[in-house]
Amino acid sequence: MSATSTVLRILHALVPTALVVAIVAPALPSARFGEFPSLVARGLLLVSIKQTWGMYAPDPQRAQTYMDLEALYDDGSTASLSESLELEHGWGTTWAWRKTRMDIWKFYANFHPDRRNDHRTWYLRSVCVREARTGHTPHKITMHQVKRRFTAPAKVARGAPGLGEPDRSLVTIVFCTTSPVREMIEDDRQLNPELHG
Amino acid sequence: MAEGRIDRLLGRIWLDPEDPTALGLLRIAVVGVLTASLLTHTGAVADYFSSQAPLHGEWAREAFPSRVSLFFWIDSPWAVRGIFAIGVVAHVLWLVGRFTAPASVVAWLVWVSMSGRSPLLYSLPDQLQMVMCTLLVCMPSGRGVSLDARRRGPRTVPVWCRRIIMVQLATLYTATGLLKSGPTWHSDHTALYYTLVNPYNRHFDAAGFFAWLQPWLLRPATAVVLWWEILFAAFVVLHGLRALLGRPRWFLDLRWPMLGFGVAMHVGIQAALYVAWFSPLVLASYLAFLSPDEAQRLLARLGRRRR
Repeated sequence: MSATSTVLRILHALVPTALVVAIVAPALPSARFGEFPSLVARGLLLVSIKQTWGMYAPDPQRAQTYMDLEALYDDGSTASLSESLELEHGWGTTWAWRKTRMDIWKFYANFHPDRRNDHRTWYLRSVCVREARTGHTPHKITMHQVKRRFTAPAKVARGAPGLGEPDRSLVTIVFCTTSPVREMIEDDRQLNPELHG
Repeated sequence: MAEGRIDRLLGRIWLDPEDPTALGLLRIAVVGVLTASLLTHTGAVADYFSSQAPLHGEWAREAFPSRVSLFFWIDSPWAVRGIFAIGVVAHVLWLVGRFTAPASVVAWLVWVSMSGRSPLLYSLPDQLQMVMCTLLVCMPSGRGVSLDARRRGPRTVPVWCRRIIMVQLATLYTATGLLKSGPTWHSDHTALYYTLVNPYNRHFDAAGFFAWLQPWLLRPATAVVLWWEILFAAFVVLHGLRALLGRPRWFLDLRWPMLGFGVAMHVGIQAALYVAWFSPLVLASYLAFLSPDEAQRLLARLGRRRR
């Protein structure tokens, strides 16, 4: 075998080897492997590849939470926004054709109610833009969360209902008339005048 | 001498050629799922990825700074719809294996752009789509069961292609299994129960029935699922070792019990829960465990049935 073909074979072998590193490295514990796993993970994230797998880990959800959004307008009136419909319809069953990809964003926006969550911030800012398109820009939007715990199976077997009582709590307030939301709405008005009522 | 041994080892593990039929079938199954998933975006493409989305332009770039996407820069609704349509055509070409390599790169770019532009529209099960799409792009998957193969004649593929998919599945399952460290998995074994009764994605409102099943079915099944996931990487190592040794008769073939359990589990999940395209995609990936001769026999059987 010539030296050239040996080099070519080694280069070829580097392709699957690099793929194995890209697959395995992000899942390695940083306590033992230092910065390397997060370095690889950050590189992969650029092209939207995530190799962190944790379905139903460390535990599956034991409660379900939906957001309850209320808009307050400059004239003092209030309105419940479309997100809050899930408080009525979200406790039964679901099928793929009833879901939209926005449900996934709402799911992420509900994470960590007592901490900063950028996904929630951007979601609520988007809601301001969406509502401004109706012709009535809210002054502010108040987000509550309604949580219902899943009853332990032993209690359900003894006749308890599968879901606990709703527990409502304040999460945050977003102002639609301050920066940067004001600029987002103004940009949207200029770019999509046909969408604004 | 040593150089020859290393070369042989490289060959056995990664580089030896094999018939492309198994990889071709894997391509058809995985790209079939990707195409179906892509098509579910139809009708909402401009709302999700263009300047018509409530979060667009510089604000979208600010919200998702760690991502790249064509749609950060090309965001007029018709251009976005046009790129999406090109993506659909690329998926169909990739599926049938015509202009496979360029089609797969275009399809991948469209997925990267959609996931990068609006990453919060994609959940953990969707993650596997991006991963499988990327891995398949790196492989000569059009060499088998494709229009390209019909025109250019049969060409072999390196053994690493199927093995990389096996490594991916092993990482996915074992990492997940190891991260399941909570009490619902390890002490009260209620994890499957809580998964099945979650109104966010349950197909059936049957908490009473599942509570009745809990002591004698869901509780043991929770432990079995956990250990099956943790041991999946060991199975893949043993399976690889068996292949390296030339599949001797004394070396037990564990594919039936391990993958059979996986099929039953994923079919069960798909029946009971909304999990986007996760189950079909994982099951499609299982085709990586078919050897080329098994894939050829499967194709021949399907061909006979069609006639």
